[in-house]
Amino acid sequence: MSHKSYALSCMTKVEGHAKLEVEMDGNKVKKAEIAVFEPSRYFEHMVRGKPFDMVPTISQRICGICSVIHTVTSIKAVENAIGVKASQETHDLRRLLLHASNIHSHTAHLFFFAAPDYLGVGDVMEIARKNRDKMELAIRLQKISSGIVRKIGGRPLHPVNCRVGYFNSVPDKSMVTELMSDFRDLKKLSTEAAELFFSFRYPDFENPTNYLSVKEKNSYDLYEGDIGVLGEKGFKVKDYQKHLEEETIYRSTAKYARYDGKPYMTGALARLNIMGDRLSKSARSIVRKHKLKLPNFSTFTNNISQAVEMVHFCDRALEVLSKYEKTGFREEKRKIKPRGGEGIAACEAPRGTLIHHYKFDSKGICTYANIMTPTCQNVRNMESDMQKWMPELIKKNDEKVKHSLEMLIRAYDPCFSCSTHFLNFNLKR
Amino acid sequence: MVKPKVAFFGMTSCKGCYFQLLLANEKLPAIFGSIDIVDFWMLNEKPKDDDMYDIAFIDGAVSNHENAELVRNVRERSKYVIAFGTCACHGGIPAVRNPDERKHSAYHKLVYGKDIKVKSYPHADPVSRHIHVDYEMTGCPINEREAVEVIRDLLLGKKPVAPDYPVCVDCKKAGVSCLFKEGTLCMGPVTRAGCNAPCPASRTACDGCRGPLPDANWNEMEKLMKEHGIEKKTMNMMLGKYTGGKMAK
Repeated sequence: MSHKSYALSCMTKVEGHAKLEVEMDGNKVKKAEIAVFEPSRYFEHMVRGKPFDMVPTISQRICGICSVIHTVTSIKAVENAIGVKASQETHDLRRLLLHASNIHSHTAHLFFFAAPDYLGVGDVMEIARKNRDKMELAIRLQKISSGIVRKIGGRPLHPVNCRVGYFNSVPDKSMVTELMSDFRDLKKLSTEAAELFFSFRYPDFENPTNYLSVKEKNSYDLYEGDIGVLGEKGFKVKDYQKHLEEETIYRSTAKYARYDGKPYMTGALARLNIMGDRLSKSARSIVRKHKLKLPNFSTFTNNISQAVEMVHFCDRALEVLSKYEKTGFREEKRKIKPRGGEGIAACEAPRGTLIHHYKFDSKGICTYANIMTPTCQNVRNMESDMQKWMPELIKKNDEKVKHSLEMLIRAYDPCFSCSTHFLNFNLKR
Repeated sequence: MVKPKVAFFGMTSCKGCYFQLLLANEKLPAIFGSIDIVDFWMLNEKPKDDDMYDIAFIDGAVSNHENAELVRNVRERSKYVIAFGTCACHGGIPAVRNPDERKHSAYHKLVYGKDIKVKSYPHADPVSRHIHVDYEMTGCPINEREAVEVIRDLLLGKKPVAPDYPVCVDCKKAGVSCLFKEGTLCMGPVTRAGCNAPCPASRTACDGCRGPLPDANWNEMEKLMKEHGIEKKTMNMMLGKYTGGKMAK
């Protein structure tokens, strides 16, 4: 059989820039690679020499869609390093920020990037013309979730109110009531969204792999805990460099990671696989109604997992908020005095585990930074998925191969601008 | 009516400005309906290389050869070019590394190791350093209302005008009390308005993300910073945070 290579020259409907290269020899995959060609951004250098309170305001700009999670993870790592303990109220406000921003990001990915594939339209502009009701659902979800981030964080993107140690301003009692009503509205809309994404037909493709996520002690949350690994013991966040090995790749400005030498997947599916037994009652009833098997090994289930999570996070947020229903949050202004030290923090971004790691000198000036984004952890697994799926896909024509692979990569909700340190398509048959 | 052809391009940035634009929410169907978006890699699949554009949005800083080539190519094919966001207007956060220009290969090695070739410029540039820009929409991120207004103005054949007054005016309009009164140092007086002051509204000092006001009183700002006990080195860091470390005067 002839030798053919495919090149997908600029992957679309993902955030950032990346390229796919696949080389086939008959049915055999000779090469299945992803290259990130987002320009080098050097964040790990840029934060060095900067005061501790400026560091999160720079690292939050790593990603426009997950800026909230970068802000929170960065702040937590800084606090761990310079010896600051935040209050329970501050931790709770950050949890709420994460719940809302994950719903915002999931909505953007599901409706603007993924939905066109399954509705059989070209792009979201076509959805706006042909599926007006779906567009309206997306807009309402976006509006309320980003509104919550604005109310708590000061701005919908790159929140400013969340500082090292405290919040500059906090929701009072009437704001808590307003936030609760927002989350109740979001829950209704999220349930609608979940029904929609369960109604789509996804490609029949499974590739069991290693699943990793931050595992909270008792709940299904995104904020703190050790690293959970499906079917294994997992490990402490502080030992991440022992288990997660980052390598620089000649073809890429992203660094690719492996877990104990193996590819792994992180994100909504991994979280659902690891913490699925802790879903809220409403989220669990949706999973049962549609007979979703857990753990699940189809990459495409990541889309459904995000929709299920949206319902769950609304319930979790309402639980947190109910503690403050009668009192509101207490204002606390603190003067932060830094000491030198090293700090690591891991949180769950919409697209997977995010790790920030810093060192500071005794004056609170940053001397070292290492940041591991979810996409750079997922790239190896994307390649392994392509390896497994290609022998079957190759029976189809080039256009279909390209589209299937794009859907596959997109299901990861990749964010190639943050993984710079990433789509173009090349297929050789 | 022939709809104007609009294109969006991304250079070196976090792409947050596009997500902020999507927050125009209810206005989105009207925007999508009144313009013909011919190229938006983030949202659609069929970029055409030979298209001519009525309006081109360029987001992000120019930080490598490919970026520079693309902005030149976009300029040649577009009637009206908008630098979209602070990265495109001033270099923004990608330009935080600009003062270390001479140490580029050293810090490249630190981040990527010695085997990966340097492909980026030692500095991240504003788009206007490479091509003529017709409108600078600043903000990290941009303000979606300003974006909608600019698109509307252009559709009506009006020339959009960027705000030329400081964030302080936005604070007064929004009824936000001055942070200086609480002893908090704020970059509002030297920063271009148009954001409606969300930061001071949540009692957080403006950190100048919309870039410098063209005729700001820099000497007075420095005096204020000194009074607040800011050291010279930190002062330069703060003043140049979104403009590549240079104090814009």
